[in-house]
Amino acid sequence: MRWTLLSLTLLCAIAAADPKSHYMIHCMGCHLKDGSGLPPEVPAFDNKLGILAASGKGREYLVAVPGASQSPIDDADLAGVLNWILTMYADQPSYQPFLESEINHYRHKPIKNPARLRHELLGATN
Amino acid sequence: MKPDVLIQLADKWVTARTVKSARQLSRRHFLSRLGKLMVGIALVPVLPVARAAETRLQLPEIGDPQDCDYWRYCAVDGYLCSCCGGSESKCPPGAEPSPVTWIGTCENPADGKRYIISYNDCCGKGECGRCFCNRNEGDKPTYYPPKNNDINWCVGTKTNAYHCSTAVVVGVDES
Repeated sequence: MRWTLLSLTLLCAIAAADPKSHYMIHCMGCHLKDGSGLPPEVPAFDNKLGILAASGKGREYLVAVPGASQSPIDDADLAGVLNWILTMYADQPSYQPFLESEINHYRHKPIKNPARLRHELLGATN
Repeated sequence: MKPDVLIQLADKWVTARTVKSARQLSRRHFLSRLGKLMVGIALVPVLPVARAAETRLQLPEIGDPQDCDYWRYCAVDGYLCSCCGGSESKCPPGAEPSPVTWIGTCENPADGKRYIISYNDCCGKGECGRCFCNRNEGDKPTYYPPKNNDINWCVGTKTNAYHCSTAVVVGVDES
């Protein structure tokens, strides 16, 4: 019985967490279905995400950038959709998944100039 | 070492491990239950429920796509492409669909589910002028651009001239 309950709970958790719907509703309009975006105004989702997610400043940027921080979803869902995006589009696994607490920490620190900060963080690879 | 010798060695090793675990683990052991759980999770996408989600574009329909009350238009603001030589999901000839778009969700009265709708504008021609429809479910003020339907979404197209709006179902809202 205990195992049945545990299995059901796990399956329900998998079914309830749907970061793909959040991606489609809150991100896809500009970043497009395949993540290619519309550079330079809308950055493409590619392995630069992995570079950004591997540093503290880069992680702060990914959370605080307006499209993420201002999306009308709570911290847990934002962590879920960011991790989903990283899994889909970044191919180097040298980063840790975002936690809800980390989202809460970075989300309320507005970036004055996102494009400039992105350039500073990525340098020549931008 | 020859490859067939390697295969034989691997075969012996796997056989030995399997026999050993079968002797040592009871049917109620943690590992055997974990194995069942993992197989169960792997089978979930094979179930009819998951397959239905993949063929979601064949959805039950009620209503007239040339009517502003049609369910997909719950968040549209503009001329309906279905009255302008296109359809609810296709631009009229000579108009270019904007890749960047605003996304809303609408409930389909035929099955009670919420669907994710992409309101791609069709661009590159003058305003169509027919079937103006302004419904604003989920619309937010212009200071919140990603969720606002008043702004011109002809972005990333050859010209930003607005012609009409489509309402493309892109998925089921399971958020």
